[in-house]
This record gives sequence, C-alpha cells and structure tokens, in this order.
Amino acid sequence: MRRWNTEVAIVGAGWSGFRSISPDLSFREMMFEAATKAYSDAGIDPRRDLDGLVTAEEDFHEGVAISDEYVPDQMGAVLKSVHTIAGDGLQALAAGVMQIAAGAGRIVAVESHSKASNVLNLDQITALALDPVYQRPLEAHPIFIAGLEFRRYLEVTGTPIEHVARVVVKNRRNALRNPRAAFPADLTLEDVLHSEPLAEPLTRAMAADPADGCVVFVLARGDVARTLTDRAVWIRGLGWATDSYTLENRDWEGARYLRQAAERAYRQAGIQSPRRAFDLVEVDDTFAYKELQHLEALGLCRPGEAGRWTAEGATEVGGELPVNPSGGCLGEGHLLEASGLARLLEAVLQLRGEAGPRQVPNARTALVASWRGLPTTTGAVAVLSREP
Amino acid sequence: MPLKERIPHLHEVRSWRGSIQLEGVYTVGVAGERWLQGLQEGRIYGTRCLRCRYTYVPARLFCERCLGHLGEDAWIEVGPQGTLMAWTQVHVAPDGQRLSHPRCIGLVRLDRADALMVHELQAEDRPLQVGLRVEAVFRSPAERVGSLRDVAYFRPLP
Repeated sequence: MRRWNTEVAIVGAGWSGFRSISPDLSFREMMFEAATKAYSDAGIDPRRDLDGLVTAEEDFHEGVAISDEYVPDQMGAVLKSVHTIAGDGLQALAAGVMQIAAGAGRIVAVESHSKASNVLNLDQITALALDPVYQRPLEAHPIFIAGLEFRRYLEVTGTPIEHVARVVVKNRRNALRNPRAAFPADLTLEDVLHSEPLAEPLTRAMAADPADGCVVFVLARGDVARTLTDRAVWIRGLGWATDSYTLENRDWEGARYLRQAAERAYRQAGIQSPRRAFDLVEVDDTFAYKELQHLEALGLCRPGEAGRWTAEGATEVGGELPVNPSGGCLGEGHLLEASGLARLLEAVLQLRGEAGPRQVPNARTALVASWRGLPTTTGAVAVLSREP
Repeated sequence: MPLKERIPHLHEVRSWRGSIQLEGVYTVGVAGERWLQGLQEGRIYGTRCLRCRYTYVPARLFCERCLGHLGEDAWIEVGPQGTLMAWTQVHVAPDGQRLSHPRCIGLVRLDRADALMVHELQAEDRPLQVGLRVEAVFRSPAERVGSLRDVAYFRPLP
C-alpha cells in the first residue's frame, strides 16, 4: 500500500469510562458523553461540521439486531453518512481515514463502545463464533485456543512463564496512574502465576477482564486539521489483516495477522527499522502472552526476545520502549470492539503530552496494534506522529 | 423535579432483560459430508494441494493458499496417528462456570497432514510434552453418527 495523497489527522478525542460496570448509563448516554467531549476537544459543531460517522460493533454484544441503526442520534450524525464495521475499532479508524482520503468527507467521527456488563453470557457468545461443524461439537470454552497458543508460544520461543507474568504486573501497575483504568492493581509475580487456572498455562490474572466504556475520535483532512488545532496527531500508516480463521490452518506461533498488518502500515509510513521508530507502543494484551507475541510480530524485537526485554524493564514507562503505559487491556479492562480505540486513545494523549503522571517524556511517534480477540485472527496497526 | 438524583440500590435500576433466539441449520457442504461420513467409517480424510504441498484436515474442496480446486484425486487418508503440538487443561465450561474436573484439549498434527486438528486428549497420568506421539480413538461403529465426536479422543501411543 502506498501513502495516501491526502493527509489525515486526529483532531479530537473523547471517552466515557472505563468501568467494570455502568448500570447508571445507557450505552447511548456513554456514546453521547464521549462524543460531546470529542467534538468540544476538536472545537467543532457536529450538526454543522460532521460529514460522516464510522462505528465498530457486533450485534450479539449489543443485544439487538441491526445495531448499526442505533448509532447516529447520540453522535450528532442523524442524516449524515453512517457506516458500521463489524470488527475492531482500528478497522473503523481505517474506514474513516479512507473516506477522507477518497474525498467523501472532510471531518469524520469514529466511535466504538463496550457495554460488556449488559451481556449476561459473554462466554457463550464467544463460543458461538467457533465453527459449528468442526469445533462446536467439542463443547469447549473458547479460552482453550488461548491455552494452546500460549503453550505453543512458550515452546517455540523458550520464553519462561515468569516473563509472561511480568507483563501483567507491569500493565496493572501502569494502570494505577491512569484514571480511565478499570482494573489497576499492584500485583506480584506469584499473584499472577498462582491465580486460578483458566486454560493452562493461562491463569485468570493473565486474561483481561471485560469493562464498559466508549471512545470517540474526530478525524479531519490535513488542511482542515491545521485550521482546527495545533495539537493534531497525524495518521502516517494503517494496516489490517485476517489470517485463516480455521483452527486447523491458522498460524499458531507468530500472530501472522499482525505481522502482515504491520508490514503494510510500516511501508505506508516509510519505516525501515521499527525498533527505533517509536517512542511508545500501545499493543493488544488481551492475554499476557499476546503482548509479547504481538511485540515480536510487530518487528520491535526478535521472536523470543520480548519476554527477556520485558523482564529487564525495557517496556516499562522510563524504559527503552514503553509498552502499554495506559495499562493495556489488562489494566484498563477489555472494551470488546472498542479495545483498539482504547489503545489508540492513550497513544493520542501521549503524543499531545496530556498523559499526566504516566507521560512518556517528549513522545513524538507511537505505534498502536489491536487484535479482534478470541477466536479471531484479525489484527490492525496504526502508526501515529506529532508531525504530518 | 424530573431527575432522580441517585439510585441507591442496584435492583432499582430499570433495565429490559431479554435473550436472542437464533435457530437455524448450518450445512456442512460437499467436502464436509464426505469427511464426516469418513469419520463414521473410522477414517480421517484430508485433501492435498499438490501445488502448495499442503494437506487440509478436515478435507476441503479448495486450497486457501492458491485458491485451486481440490478434486477427487486430492483425497487421501491421514492419521490416525499424529504428533502433539500443544495441549491445555481447560478449567471453565462454555457458560463460564468452573469445571470440577478440568478437561484436556490437544493440538495434533496427524501423520501425512499439514493442518492441525483440535480434539479432546485423554492421557491418564502420562506426562505431556510437545512432540508426544498420539492416536485418534474412534467410538464403536454403532455409536458413530457422522460427527467430529465419532473420534472419542486422542491418547498417547503406548
């Protein structure tokens, strides 16, 4: 993929939550809160200035059919171009960027949310995503996929399980300095290793718990962005890919989906050596081993190196390359389809220098990578910069 | 005063409780029909793409690598022995409840196949390791119905 002819920037960001439950708010009110913050942050009047809206959501998580019809009113997007992606929020970001690049709009909002606390049987919904003929007859919780992949990761890379546990300790500690985080905690390696097993070697503490929240961004064409703000964050590269979905033929070792997505995003951004290209990384850590596997797939270190790197503190705030200063999904909570936008939100705030006590000094470039979660093989990558 | 300032108890939060009923059938298709019939006969079939040198299990009518058609001559028998690539003890049921007895699921590369198969693994007290030789154990012919579960489980070779 070549670079687009049109520059696109993030000119506004807003959010609601994140919290483990939110019985006081409807999902529409969460979206309204996040949207009004984002529009005010961008300094736009959505009824006058907004050209379109892209959202990411799944009907089964919303509990209604055709849930994409439920979105325009609380977003100020009634009678505007509305488009919903069944996928991760970063894929909605890509759709928004492409609309601007294609000339279909000057200012486009991107939204995704999670009202996971409304879903009374999230596990069973995830199980319904398994192949009805070849997997569902096993009647197994889909977490087995994470257990098998984790085992394979440890085997192939020789990573000690303590290094994986270290990811949980780091991310939940980072979350202590993040007011958005639903699950901040000060844990020890033993707490993580000895929490109850889910799908061995995966323990409960190594798996992100779902949370409620909403994230909204305002995107603008380059020339419009310059008139709106001097804090624009520029989207330099985007890529997304889906591996074979079948358990039989997918890659069990190296998150091939993310490697592919990253290659596209790097090519677009003109990045040759990703290891030295970024000041911080926000990457999917739905399961602790995924952070390590994803760092390797992103080419930030060699296969098998991410664990040692983590154990040495290189990925701490203040280390060589801070990874998930927000606390990641483990610390902030997993926002279902919105989890990629939650990663993006932290990167945007860091690049604007607005990350408060967890600010990475002088952050100018950031890498964001998401995974669509169990049992999918879809990942997306965004390269961000303070300069166009 | 139109606004309730505070709802002191969770059970006073108004909500609508519902469930989505979705009934349907999911046809297995031409290759699936034949593959499941094979299981019923106690055989595991794959289809081999000669161009990509890759054998699919369950057998498929197409190769996802070159998108070529996998016809009659692509069908070969694979397994029932294979190599354990990974395993996990699962402690939760599909509804999220904890299982009183964890179950073991294995990832197996069947001999002559490239695709990996996921199935129940019964190892008794045998220590497990990647590379362990295993075999598929079929249910008795009378119990088979043409389902993935016609293979009862995999077990380590003695």
